[in-house]
Amino acid sequence: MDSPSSRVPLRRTADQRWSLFFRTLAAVVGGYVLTSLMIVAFSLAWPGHRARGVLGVSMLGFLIYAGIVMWAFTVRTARRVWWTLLLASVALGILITLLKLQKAT
Amino acid sequence: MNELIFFFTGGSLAYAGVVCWCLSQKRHQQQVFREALPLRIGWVLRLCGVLLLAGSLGQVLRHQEGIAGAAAWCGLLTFSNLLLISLLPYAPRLVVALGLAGVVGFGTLVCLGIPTGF
Amino acid sequence: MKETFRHSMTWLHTWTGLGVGWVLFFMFLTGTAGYFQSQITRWMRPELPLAAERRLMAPEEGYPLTQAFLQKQAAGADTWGMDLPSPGVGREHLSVWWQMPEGAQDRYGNAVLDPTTGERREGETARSTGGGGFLYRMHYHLHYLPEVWAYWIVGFCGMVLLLALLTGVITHRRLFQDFFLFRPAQGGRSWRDAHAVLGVVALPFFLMITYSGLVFFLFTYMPAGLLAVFGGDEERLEEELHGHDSHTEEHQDAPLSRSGVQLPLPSLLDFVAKAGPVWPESTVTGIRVDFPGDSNSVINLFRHTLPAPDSERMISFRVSTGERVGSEEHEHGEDHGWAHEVEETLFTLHRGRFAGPLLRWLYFGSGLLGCGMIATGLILWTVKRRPKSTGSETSGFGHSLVERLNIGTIAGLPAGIAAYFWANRLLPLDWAHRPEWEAHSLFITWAAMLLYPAFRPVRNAWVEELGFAAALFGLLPFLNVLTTDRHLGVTLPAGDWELAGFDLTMMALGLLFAWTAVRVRPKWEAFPASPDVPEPVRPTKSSMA
Repeated sequence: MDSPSSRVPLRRTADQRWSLFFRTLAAVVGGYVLTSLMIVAFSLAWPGHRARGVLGVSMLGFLIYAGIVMWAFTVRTARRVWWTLLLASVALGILITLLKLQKAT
Repeated sequence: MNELIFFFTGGSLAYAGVVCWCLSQKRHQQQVFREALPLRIGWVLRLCGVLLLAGSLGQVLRHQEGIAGAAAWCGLLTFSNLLLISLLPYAPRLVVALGLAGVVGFGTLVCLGIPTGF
Repeated sequence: MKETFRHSMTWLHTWTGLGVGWVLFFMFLTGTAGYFQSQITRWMRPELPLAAERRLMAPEEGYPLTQAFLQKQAAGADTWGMDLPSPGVGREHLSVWWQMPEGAQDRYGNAVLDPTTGERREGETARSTGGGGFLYRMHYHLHYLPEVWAYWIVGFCGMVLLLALLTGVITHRRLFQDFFLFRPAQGGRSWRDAHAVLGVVALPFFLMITYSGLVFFLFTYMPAGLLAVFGGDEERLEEELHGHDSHTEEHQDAPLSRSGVQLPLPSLLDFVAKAGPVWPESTVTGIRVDFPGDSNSVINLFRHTLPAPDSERMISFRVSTGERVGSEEHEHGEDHGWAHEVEETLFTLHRGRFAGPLLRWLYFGSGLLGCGMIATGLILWTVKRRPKSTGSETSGFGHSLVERLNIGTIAGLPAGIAAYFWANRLLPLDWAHRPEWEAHSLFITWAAMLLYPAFRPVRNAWVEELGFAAALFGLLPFLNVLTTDRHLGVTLPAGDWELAGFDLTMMALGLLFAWTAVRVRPKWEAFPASPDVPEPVRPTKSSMA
């Protein structure tokens, strides 16, 4: 599903339906995972009082999640959504591992 | 009673303020005055609107400080806007009349010596 | 590209809104009722005294009674609690509670005290009911569902609402130019104007309510940070949040323990007086005493207020020395950092317990605007997709379903709530299951209203259900006359504005629904001459009904 307009024809091809399904799945599940990873990364990297950092960053989570979901529906293809989320998650995963190692030392 | 007076005064200023903003738009000028007003008047109305809204915020904050006061002001703004928007298509002159009445009412209270914070 | 972006956001707005619209309507309607929950509860217990007869208690009247009672009943307890009647937050009675030390036979106890005698009040003098609190709790707890399911459903819907609000703002391309625009009697366009106006006019309220609602269960919905840094131990986060200052020995947050040395508790009023300089305009509405009668005893005073940097909700005093418990920083309020302040502020704004009567009406009104925003959105969806004037009356299954769910919820749920109040007046007083069946009445009525449109043409169903809701609301004050002596004829002369206000609000709602029903009727009978009429009517057999 490329650029949906407000008057979406009710009948879609099977392809379009699958595309929409995968895009939604990516946004909802992948977006949540990415949001959580971002929260973890920010919390671990937080320079100040860590409890306040966790609380503050977690509260922002809803806004971040909303932003990611909205973004997911502006991207041209569902595939691109998946790839972007995947890459971002991997990058954050690496960052988190580094932060944890740094804390351990 | 105290709350009532502050809400009335704050509300009348808020309502007058949003009326000014509304009248600064050409479309609504045509609704009320049958013709568009000069551009300069539009800017003056906007300025008045801002001052009135600021005044209403100040008035409400006098009664209730901090976030609670800001929340109350938002509420007054909400219903001022709602009143304005729902009346406008049906009775545009009444909308303006109410705005003037509110401000006059405020002035009356002040002159009568009723404690309004002024 | 901007157009595509806006189109995507419009699509997202439409389908997210539709997906959870009815649940959101339920949450908003019951939550809005919650702002007047104590007033509703009072109306639902008409055996309670009228306002004028109700003695609002000053600390000087209440606390000597509670102290005397607890001294007799629960000497040696670990904790005493006592609350003055605070009608604004739903506490009708002078009440006490206590917790005995571990190993005691009856560890926990509570009692409601008669304000004239100071003795325990025997028996319940007013009918048992879920009251307004039931409606309030339902808005996040739903009903008939395990708690955990409810929290997840509510959280999901809240998240979707956040999305709908944000996409709605983006979609509303001419938000500022069209701020004051409303074009009535123009079919679909009017519905869109109404939806936009309702959404914009109370937008700060909606954003606050939605976001704060989500934050209420923050670590249920977003546990990642807690898990990563604290291993999921929320208690440890709370401890760290409240600062190291509270954990030195002099401070009352440290585990307080009995010293074993006896020290008779002086009059609590002395400590209430000490609160005067700190809380000049507030009443001490509650007291908790830790280890009464012991030399380590601490007295904690409470009031209801909004957290601000220089205000507190609890002050504590050590009994032995009479001094404030807390460091110098605590003199200026509990400083737990910006994050905690933000969280507490969100909670307080959402609940609005600090609100005086007028502000409470603003909250209530804003909540109703939220219901209106959701309702107009749902209706807009159906209006935009109605089969146009081709003579064919068929609409797809989905469209039909949505039309009927709309009727059943927008007219039906309010009717259900009215039925809840009807049940309160009609169910037998002594029945043990009254509260449950009051609740069942709400849902049975709502279910019936959801099913009814399946058997009627949409247009008729709207008018009939709106009319039914109008009747349920409008006739309620008359039912009140027939069944109790707390009706308008009594409450208005007595100046009991809470009870009278309830009846008057019911009448106003009845008029509102009746007016809506009347407005909807002619539309179904209009001729298809005007191109903007939402549904063209070619007289067919079904419409002649």
